[in-house]
Amino acid sequence: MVHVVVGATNPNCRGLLAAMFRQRYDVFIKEKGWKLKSYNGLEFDQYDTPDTIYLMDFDRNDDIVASMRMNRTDGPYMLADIFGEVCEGPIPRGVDVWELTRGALSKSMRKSGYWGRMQCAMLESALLWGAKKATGFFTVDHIMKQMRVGLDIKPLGPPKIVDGEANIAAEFPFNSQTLERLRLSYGIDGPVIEQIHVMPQQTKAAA
Amino acid sequence: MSEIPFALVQAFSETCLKAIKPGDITRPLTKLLDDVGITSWYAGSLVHESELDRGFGFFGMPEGWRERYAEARHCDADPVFRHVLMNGSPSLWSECRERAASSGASKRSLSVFDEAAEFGLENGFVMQTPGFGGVPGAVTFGGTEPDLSTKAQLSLRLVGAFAYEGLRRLVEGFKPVPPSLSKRELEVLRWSAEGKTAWEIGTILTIGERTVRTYQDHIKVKYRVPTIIQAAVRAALDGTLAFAQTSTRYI
Repeated sequence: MVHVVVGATNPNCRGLLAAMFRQRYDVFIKEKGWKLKSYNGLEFDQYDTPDTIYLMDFDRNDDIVASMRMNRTDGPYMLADIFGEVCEGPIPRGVDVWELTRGALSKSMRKSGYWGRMQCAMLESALLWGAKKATGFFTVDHIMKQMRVGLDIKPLGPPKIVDGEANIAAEFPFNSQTLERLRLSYGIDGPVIEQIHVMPQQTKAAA
Repeated sequence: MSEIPFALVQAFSETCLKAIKPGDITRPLTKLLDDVGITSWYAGSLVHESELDRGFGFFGMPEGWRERYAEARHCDADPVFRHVLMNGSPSLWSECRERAASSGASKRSLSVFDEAAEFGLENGFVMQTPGFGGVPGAVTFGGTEPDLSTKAQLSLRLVGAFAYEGLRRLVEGFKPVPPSLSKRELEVLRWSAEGKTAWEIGTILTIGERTVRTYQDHIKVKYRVPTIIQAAVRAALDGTLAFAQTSTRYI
């Protein structure tokens, strides 16, 4: 089942976060060869903040197999800061617009159905937090697969070649219809989020 | 000719995902392409036209070319068709022709390009799309002198992606997505479904029994079931098994 962790510095989830940062190092730096900063075999950057929401999925041996990073777009975020010129028109912004980045799936688990669970968890989280829309910079191949499973993708600018692959800035709505389509496409019967780990101060504020 | 302006691509993408009948997509698609010198398109499954009941296909081809292509069973020899079926990466028709010629393709294969030219189709672009019911899909565009610059190709990829998906949704809606199996996994699945043992499958495919079992394990993981027969049943339901049984002449 999927764990949701709020905060890159969440003191209650150090083990989970370390496993995810290590997986990101393995997937993005070692396997894909992206030129990213790393620290002792962990990959993280300025977009891993105390407000960031992470999704993590684990196999039967409790090894991490999939993860995703989601950030609100009312502050600095990657599409606006780094890829802003790829949008032809206004760049999406808002408390209820989330940027999706660093979607990682361990190599041995590709095509295994774990990604479907991550996507359902993404929609479940968005509905829980009241987010309305997702945005990001995705490969064209990826958006074709995403549309196939039910996301209504809207391109925000013409494709650009990055690292030899065609990528576009795009957005899609978070709503219950999309969640239903995802569950149907992936053969998932119900909620996949098992646990939400909020930051301790948020727990206090909520109380 | 220039590439399609992004504002038009964006408007078309919205049209595709909101369409309620195929004409809502095919008519604006033909218009959009015509403005950039593309006079022929196909969006649908990678099968012979007579087998489209296993998938779907929408055509915007010059008069006579669609009939000629089907009648001559060009899909069995066409290097463009074979490229997109086996490789999957987007490609120009001219690149497919060059690859076919340099790898010693038959005269019949190469003659498909000459016949297409007789219908005003000198060059074009092809891209693979996610499949339909286990059958791979593709979109292809062609014309006499279409703009096939890198920028124009990127634009066509977006147009093709949205056109295909819009049409697919109208035909199929949303169903469980079959897992993607490799060529070898398809072969092992096909023989497993017929009740062959791992040893027998290994003999047929000239691979080791243990290798067969490894492929079967991969298939079970992808279908998330404990036995290979359960995977075969799932594959029968989602169309993958039918594709595995008939695709040997293509793969």
